[in-house]
Amino acid sequence: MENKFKFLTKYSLLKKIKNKWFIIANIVVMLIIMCLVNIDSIVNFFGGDFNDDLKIKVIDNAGYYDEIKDSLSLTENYFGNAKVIVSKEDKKLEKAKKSIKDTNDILLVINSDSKNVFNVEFITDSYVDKVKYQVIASSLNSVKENIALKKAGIDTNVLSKISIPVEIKRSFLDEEKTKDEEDSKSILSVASLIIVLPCFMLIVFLVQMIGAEINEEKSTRGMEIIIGNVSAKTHFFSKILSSNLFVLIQGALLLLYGGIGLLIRKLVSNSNTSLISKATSSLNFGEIFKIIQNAGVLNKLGYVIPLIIILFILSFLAYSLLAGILASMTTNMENYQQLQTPLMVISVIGYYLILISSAFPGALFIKVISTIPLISISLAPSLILSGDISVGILIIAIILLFLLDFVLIRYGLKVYKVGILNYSENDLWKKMFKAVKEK
Amino acid sequence: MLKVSNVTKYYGDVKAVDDLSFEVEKGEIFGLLGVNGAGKTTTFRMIMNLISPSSGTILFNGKKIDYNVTDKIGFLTEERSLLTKLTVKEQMLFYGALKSLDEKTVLKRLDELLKRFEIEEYKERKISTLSKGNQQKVQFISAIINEPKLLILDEPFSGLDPLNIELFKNVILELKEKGTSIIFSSHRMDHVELFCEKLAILVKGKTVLKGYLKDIKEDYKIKKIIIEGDVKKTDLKKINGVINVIKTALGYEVNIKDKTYVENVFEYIKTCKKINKFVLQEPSLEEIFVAKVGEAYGK
Repeated sequence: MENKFKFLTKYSLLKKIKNKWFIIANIVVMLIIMCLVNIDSIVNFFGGDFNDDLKIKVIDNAGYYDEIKDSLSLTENYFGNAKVIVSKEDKKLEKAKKSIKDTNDILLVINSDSKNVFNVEFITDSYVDKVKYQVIASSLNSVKENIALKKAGIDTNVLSKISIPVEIKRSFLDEEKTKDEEDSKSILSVASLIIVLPCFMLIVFLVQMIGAEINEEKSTRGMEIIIGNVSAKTHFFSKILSSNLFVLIQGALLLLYGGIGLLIRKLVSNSNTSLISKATSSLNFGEIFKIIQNAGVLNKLGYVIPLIIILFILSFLAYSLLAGILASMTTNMENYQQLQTPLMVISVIGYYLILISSAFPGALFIKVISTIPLISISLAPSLILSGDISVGILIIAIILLFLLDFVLIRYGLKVYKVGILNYSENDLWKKMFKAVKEK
Repeated sequence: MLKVSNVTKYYGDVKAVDDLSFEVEKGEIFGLLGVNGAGKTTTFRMIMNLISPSSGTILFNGKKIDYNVTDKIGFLTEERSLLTKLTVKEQMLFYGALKSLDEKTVLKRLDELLKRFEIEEYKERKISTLSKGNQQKVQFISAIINEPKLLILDEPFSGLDPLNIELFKNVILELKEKGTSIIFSSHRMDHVELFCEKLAILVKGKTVLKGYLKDIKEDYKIKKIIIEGDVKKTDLKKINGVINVIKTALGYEVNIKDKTYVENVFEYIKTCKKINKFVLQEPSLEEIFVAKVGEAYGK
């Protein structure tokens, strides 16, 4: 029987992996992930208006051209590969307007203003995007502030002090708490959200796959031959194991595709100086790791991560057990689709609660929900890493999941034994309850 | 040897099989007959240990049937039990492994059986692309790939043309010669009559007739006389012991209460001017079946 279990598990796993659609889907997914990770490079490769140099012409009627030019030149970082070219316009206003006709150039007319140092007329031929407008406006405001402060007789030293951001010293009543730990919670909370989304997708995948496979065997009556030669228990657990192994392989492949995408990104990053790449380059993993290390969170992760892994394994097991039991009760794929909908809705609840949990820090309701099996897989990891729940609550979630798995194996298997050989929907629930009661 | 003893099966309040007992010896073919819903498939499922009897025992070679024994049993279900997305070869490797056979043995036997059933060219073809008859052949091969000691055939001739029925018959008789015990169900009484030494007729789960075919025919009192000649139907009907008279293409078929009444009919025949044929016949299994099932339904 042990050999038959191995055979059925291997057969089921290989059937999925050798399937041409699995290979095709993975090639497509790999390309999509690699493209998404390098989307900025792709956008840059095909080019567009965003790559055009930004030409700003200034008619200076107030005498601040040099200050404005210096300030606007510093905005180059915000415009990707585009250069900011600032030039003084000596032509009359009407001629200057004609000169920017049918172009994307910007004409700034600086006029003296006794109350506000200077005012600016921002002239273009076409609409300007909001980011570009805001960046230029901020730059002009900065120039105005500096000029106003200088006019007020504030010397250079004082002026530089004003422009330096205020120094804030963060301290805690509890001496064991640190700023790095505080920062690390936010980082880990975001990280857990990124991890939970693929997990959610894999759960959907798992539930669908088990249902389809069991229904296929059942609908052809091949199930009678199979159960005539191996026990329902062997058949059930071979399906659970092979499906979970498959999901594990698929998850590892997704990580691999992401890794390949990042590697490609690293290789092309030297030539890539776009706004997105600059923004993403701020995600300095070394720096993040340093914060987490300084916070002493690594020690905590040392026992939290194994607990989260246990939570994941038990949750995947619970979802697959439930999927198998529900599939055995149905007589075709359409009915299974209906029956598995509540299961999918439950898994979505957890993900939704993660999104709103930041708006309700410390909410008792969310803490309680985070221990409920099937929801805990999404919610508990995020909350423990952000410090919203304690390790004790995580352990309660694991214990409840363990109990659910135990109940599903003990009683669900009885339902499965009856369900897979049942082809009629008459008195379905009566038959299932009767199966549960049988010794 | 298969021994089914006092087996009863309830589905809720419904008694699907009622106190069924029979034995199938080595190299014997046993026919389990009955109309739809008589309890044949339920009996087969109990033998295969797919469902448990509510009471009674089923033993194969003196042991309760479990997963240690099922490797030696072949089962052909009435409905298709093939995984149609697989090729014939993949299907056999899958079912063969479930019977604890290694790949080499399965492929060797498969080649032999495909040749025997004249479908060698379909080995690598997907089952879904095969005709109904060829699918039935593949299903039959899957049931005997393990060279079973006990073979359960639930409507094996379903979907087959006369030529293929002949092919199946020969293979089944070969298996019998090799010592395989075979349980057989069919709606076709001529097939059962050809194969089965022993049989049982089920009606609503209850056994209404059971035993050796020869004894059943002998014990069945109503006999049939075939007459061809110059006789009058009205005269035949008046004879003591005659149940009914049926006009056939060439003459008459006279059913009598039992063989002691043959003389009464013969006395009448002697008075007739011209008689070409006068034969006393055993009733066919179909006639016995119809009579017994009809009795059980009160018809």
